Amino acid sequence: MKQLIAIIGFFAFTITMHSQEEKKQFIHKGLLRATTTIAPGILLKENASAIYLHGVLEYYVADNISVRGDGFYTLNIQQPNWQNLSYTKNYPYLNSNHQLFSGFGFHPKTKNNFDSYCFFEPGISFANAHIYHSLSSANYGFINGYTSNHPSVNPLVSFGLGFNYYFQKWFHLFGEARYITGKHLSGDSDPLSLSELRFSFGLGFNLSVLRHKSPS
Amino acid sequence: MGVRSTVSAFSDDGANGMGVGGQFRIKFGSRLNSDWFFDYITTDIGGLAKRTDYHIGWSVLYYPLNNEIKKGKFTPYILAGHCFDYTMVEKNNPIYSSAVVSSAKRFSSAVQSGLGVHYNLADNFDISLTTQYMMHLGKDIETHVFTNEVTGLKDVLIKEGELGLEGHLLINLSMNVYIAKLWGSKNK
Repeated sequence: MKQLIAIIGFFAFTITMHSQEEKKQFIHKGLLRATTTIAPGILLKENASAIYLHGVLEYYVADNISVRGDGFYTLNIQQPNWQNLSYTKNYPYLNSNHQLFSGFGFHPKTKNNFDSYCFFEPGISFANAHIYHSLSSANYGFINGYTSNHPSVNPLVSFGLGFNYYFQKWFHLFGEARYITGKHLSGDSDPLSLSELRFSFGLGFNLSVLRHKSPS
Repeated sequence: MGVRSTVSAFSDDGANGMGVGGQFRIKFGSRLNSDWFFDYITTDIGGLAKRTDYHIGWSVLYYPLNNEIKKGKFTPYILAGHCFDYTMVEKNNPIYSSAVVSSAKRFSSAVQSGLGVHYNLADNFDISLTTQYMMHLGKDIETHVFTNEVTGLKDVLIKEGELGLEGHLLINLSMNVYIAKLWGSKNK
């Protein structure tokens, strides 16, 4: 706990010190940023949580507009609890939910190194649903079960809010929240909702691809 | 070049689909543009079946009013074009269904027309909203949701019909980056 407070205090101090020196917008056309982090998510309609490896590549095509691509690789999705099984049923659930997005970000004008933005990205899901086939009876309870795979590719839409803080020439701090909507339709199992609220936070790397005067 | 999100509405099966795709545009004149696109659309038919549509085609865009590409400008357009399509409809749980046919597919050709507008967030970036009606010429695939009288459960009937016309409304929201000027004078 003390270490966490010390880390947060260090970032707050660094941001405050730099805020006093900044008089010019840092983000500019030709800025390229990239980052990788771990992103937790909450599958809202499936009542499950998930963790992803999140990679971002973003390029500012104008001083306040960027194009970006995001990739999410599923590390883990919380599995349902199969203990309370009463009858023979099929239970569909998500086993993996890898996703790719591409879209744009809109960045309001600023006068310093702080960059807030909103973004909109269509995307695609490479997900695999499992169906747990449960064989039970009222007299003997759970007898047996097995799972079947149902992979599918489905379209998605996501939008969200975030911020970047460029506290060094090459590095920045970022945080964002996004909402994703879509459905896993595999054609041989019940549909599963891919609606999710997902968060990302961490450190990123940035560089200017075009010649640009650094803010004083 | 850009990416787009698509909503498919008012199709014969009564369900709305969602899709993702991309396009690139080549402008041939100050008032004439062309759009070359690909869409992948899936539709959930009552939780009982899945419809998948692949569209690949092109459209011509004509700017009757403002045609100046500049930050902050709205540029409305009329579009018309043609595409090739592949459609597949599959049941979600065929082994639990009483109906015989569990899937159907078809290739078709289509024509589309509609209206749209660009809004330039920057001189080299725009978002475009397009509404177009797409009319397919090919074998009709009909889906009918019914209640099984024996089990009391809902089921879906998939039927391949005769050659005919079938249409749906597509609403696209796309984001486009201007990459290069290939020919013409420096004046826009």
